[in-house]
Amino acid sequence: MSRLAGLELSHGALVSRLVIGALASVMVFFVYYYLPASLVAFASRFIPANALAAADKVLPSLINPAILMLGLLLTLLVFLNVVLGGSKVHGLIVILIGACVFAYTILIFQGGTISLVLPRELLQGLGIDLQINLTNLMLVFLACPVLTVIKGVLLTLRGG
Amino acid sequence: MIIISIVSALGIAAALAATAVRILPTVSVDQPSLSFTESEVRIDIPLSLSNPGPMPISDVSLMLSVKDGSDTTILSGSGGPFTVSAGRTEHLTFPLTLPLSDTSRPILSRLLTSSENLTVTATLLAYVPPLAKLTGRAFTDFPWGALVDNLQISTPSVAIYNSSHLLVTVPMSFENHSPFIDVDTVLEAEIINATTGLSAGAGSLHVQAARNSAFSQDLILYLGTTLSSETLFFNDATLNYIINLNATIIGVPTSASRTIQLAWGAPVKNLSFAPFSAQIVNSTHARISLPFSLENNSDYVALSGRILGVIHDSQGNEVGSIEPYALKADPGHSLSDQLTGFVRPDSLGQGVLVLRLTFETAYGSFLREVTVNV
Repeated sequence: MSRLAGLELSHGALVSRLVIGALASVMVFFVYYYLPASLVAFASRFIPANALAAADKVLPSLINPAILMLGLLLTLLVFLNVVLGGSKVHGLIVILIGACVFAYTILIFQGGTISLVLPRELLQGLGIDLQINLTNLMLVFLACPVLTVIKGVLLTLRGG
Repeated sequence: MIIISIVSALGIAAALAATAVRILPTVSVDQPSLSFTESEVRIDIPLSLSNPGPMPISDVSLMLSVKDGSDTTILSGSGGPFTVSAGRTEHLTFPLTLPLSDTSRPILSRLLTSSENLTVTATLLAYVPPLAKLTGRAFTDFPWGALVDNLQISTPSVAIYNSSHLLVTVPMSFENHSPFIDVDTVLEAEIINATTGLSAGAGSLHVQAARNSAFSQDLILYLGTTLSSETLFFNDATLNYIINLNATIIGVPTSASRTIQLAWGAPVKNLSFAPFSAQIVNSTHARISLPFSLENNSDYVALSGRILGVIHDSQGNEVGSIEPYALKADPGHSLSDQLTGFVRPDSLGQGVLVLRLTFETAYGSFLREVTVNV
């Protein structure tokens, strides 16, 4: 038997939690860290060759460095969420996951309005200045982390 | 609930993405049409916008302006707002107007003949309710191609048209560098005598130059009055004219002028007479023979007609006449012959006789007085 944060687990259960947690964290790492970090390489498959230079310059500016930090933090929290599910700290971990996703969503949507500025020299003399207001879509995406935080609070109130 | 929220958010995002991505290839632009009024040129651009996506697009509006290097708006237009429902196609016309105000006319006249970079700014507003609102602005330099570039008015050639007019052929050429606009107009030309400032002739030419093509054709002018001048009948000259060209291209009146010089060769040049001989026929008449020579120095005027003449003594009394002489000398040829006539025998002893010769031609009658020693 192993004891983790007030949770007693058999050896087999612990191993299975570690494996599931690892798989879940790998998925989270891929979605929340790897994809944003590799945005240019990923998007270049769909972008015409003559616009690649512009994409190289513009796409990284869409990714706030804090997003990648949050992605790594989420990876860790998801792993802990699986391993420590039902423990005393499980509610706190769920709250942190919800908070991380909340912050992550706001950063991805740049607070609701995504700005994209392409200087003239990037697209053969064509300059583009785009403002896309996605506040309502962002609010829809924020429902999930808010519910997650509520769930974490409820778990904490129930004593883990 | 968390799962439902995740699925809902992803579903809505996918629908929005599908609407945004799928609409892009379905925007099509048809051939613009031009119309002209006194105050503006209007360019109507037919657009069709299909929305195969699952969400409607509303409040779509588009504004476009074209400015020259000095930031003066040459062309502007706006369309919308309109809504493209999901699964529908909207057809609309996007109007661009080019005001023909007093301030814009000089700019437009300049743009007719010079190529330069214009700045095009397009603003697009669109709303996918209630999720996304797009405000986009695109700006670029637009290389404007002159409609009448490298206008060449070559050295004219001249030929006889009729008894009162010359036919002046002026080779003209230019290049239409515009990728969008065809030139189709009537060029009105007036030829002005640069010395007198009076109109001397006119002509017109239907000018058609498709976009990105070169135009080359002859402008035909009918130049009057030149031959009726006695001075020009007997003397070479350099004639100076101004050709004023006027045309209206894309609603903009435009003009140009060129000075041309015509080297005029006298149809009767170097008219000279040798000493004449006389033979008394009877008590009232003596037959005279008067050798003469002349040169038709004109490049294109054939000299034809006849020479008439009366003979006066030194006191101005008419003492005889010249028999009509059939005159014929082709351009560039010389003529040597003799005039014949009769005088009163007593006039032969007066020292000099005055011959008043009249050259009757199809272009007019020209008088030349010649004094001959007896």
